[in-house]
Amino acid sequence: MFNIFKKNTLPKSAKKSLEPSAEFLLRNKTVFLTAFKGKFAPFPEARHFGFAAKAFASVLALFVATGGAAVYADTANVSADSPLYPLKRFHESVQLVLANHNDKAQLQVTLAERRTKEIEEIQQKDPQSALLPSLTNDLHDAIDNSIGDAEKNDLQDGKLVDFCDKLLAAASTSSLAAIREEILSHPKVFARFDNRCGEIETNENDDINGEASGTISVAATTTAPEVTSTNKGPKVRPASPAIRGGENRQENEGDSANIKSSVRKTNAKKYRELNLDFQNRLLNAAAGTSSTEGDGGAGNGNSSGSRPRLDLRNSLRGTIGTKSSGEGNSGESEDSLNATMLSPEGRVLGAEKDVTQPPVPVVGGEVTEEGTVSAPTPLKIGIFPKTGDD
Amino acid sequence: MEFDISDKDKLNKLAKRMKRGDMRAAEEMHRELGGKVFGFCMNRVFIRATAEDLTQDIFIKLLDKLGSFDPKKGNFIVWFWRLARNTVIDHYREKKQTSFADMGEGTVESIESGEQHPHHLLDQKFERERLQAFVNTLGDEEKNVFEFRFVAELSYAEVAELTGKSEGSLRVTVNRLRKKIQKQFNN
Repeated sequence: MFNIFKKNTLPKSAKKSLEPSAEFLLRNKTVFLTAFKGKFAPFPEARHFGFAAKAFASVLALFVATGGAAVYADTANVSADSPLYPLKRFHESVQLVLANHNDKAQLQVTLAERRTKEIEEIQQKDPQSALLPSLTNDLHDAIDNSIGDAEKNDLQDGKLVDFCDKLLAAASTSSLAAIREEILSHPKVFARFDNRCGEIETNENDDINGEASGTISVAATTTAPEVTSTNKGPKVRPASPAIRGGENRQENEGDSANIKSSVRKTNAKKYRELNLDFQNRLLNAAAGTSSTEGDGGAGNGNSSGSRPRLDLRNSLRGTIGTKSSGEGNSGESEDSLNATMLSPEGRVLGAEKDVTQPPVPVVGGEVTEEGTVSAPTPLKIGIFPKTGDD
Repeated sequence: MEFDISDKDKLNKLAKRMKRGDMRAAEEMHRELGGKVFGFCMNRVFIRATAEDLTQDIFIKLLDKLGSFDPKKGNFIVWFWRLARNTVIDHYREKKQTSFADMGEGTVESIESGEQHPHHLLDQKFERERLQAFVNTLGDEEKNVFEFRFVAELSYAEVAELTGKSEGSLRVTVNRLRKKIQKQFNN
């Protein structure tokens, strides 16, 4: 009977005398819980509101923290292998969304410059990095989108000039060689760039917003007049500022005008180099040689051996055919190669549109059945005649 | 049966939840301790109505003092039973009741005021008087150990902390008490 004592418990009978009644326990519990509710949970609604406030504050804090990290990642321009890199890209996306449509094209160029530097950083750290292909694609997209934004938003005047100058500067900067490579390696991209910016960049005047377009002026210099053709009609760019209104006007222009003029001349030179580089690459590709070997006097000409080689036939189908027909038909024959040419400044011209000079065929070149040019001559070959109504 | 470690943890967690205003935790806490607290009080006063009042006071005091309970400073069980003992002591000071032996006379009247079966009441009365007689034979130290170990069913460590005795001497006291209980209830 008392084995339970070994467990240090009272006998059942004694224990029962110490048990409370069920009624008391229930009453006591009710009183206890009522008192508890009054002391610890006086305002249930307020507690619910407090929970909502805490949840809101948490979400807000999360947004602030994420936004702060994104701004930091963008400002610090973190590397592509950084954990903060996705935040940097997110911030860039937000910038693109919020940017004025006239500024988007330039912003895309800035992003392309960033991608280029990121690619260089990753290549230095790990040439076999898995990040490189995606970064290269992003670079291509940024360049493509920049030109696309310029087309889509129909940039005019100063905005278009700024965009073209920025992209040309990026393509001509040795530290941003990947951008040049990207443009030169994709004929379609180059064609669109040429279509949008070629006229501007080959105009050496500081007055580039269309005043000279469609006019023919006779150069008052000893050199022959430089004549180009555009779809808007023939345009002659004066060889010297003197022809743009005489010496009186030149004297009234200040230093800023001189600087602008200098910039335009420099850009025209850069553009000619870029254009020649492109032509040489096409010809080298056509001749079965590496597009990376010849710089054709283009100055930079630095290209990566890993870049895709140009396929002249495809290039012609994809660009010339489209540009010539205006309807994207890809059945253009190789004769188009012979039918196009460069202007003396390096502008790509359509031979049939050049009203002042006869077409200059490929010198010594002959298109074979395989679509290659037997004896490529880099000069005087234009691929993308200006078409359309720009 | 004594609280095992999981019970201690359980009560500590319940106390924390109660401090956060968790109603269910308070309900569960009352279910765990309600019966034991009443037995503890009943073992002191042997008057059911008084024990019920004391039990109520202890639980109300628990709510008043719960804010000052710090789990980092000690076990909730020890903290609670110290609170219960002090409440009973305060009750005696206020009522100027000093001796367990003096409380025997009112027991029968208290029981008879209830609405229970007469035979049942008589059995309870007999058992209570026997327990009261036994408790009155104990010294103060043994009474404390009896209350905490046999009525509140605390562990040796908890009783040692409440009474200020070492666990070794506590085990000796418990063994002695066990023999006394066996002798008392065998007869």
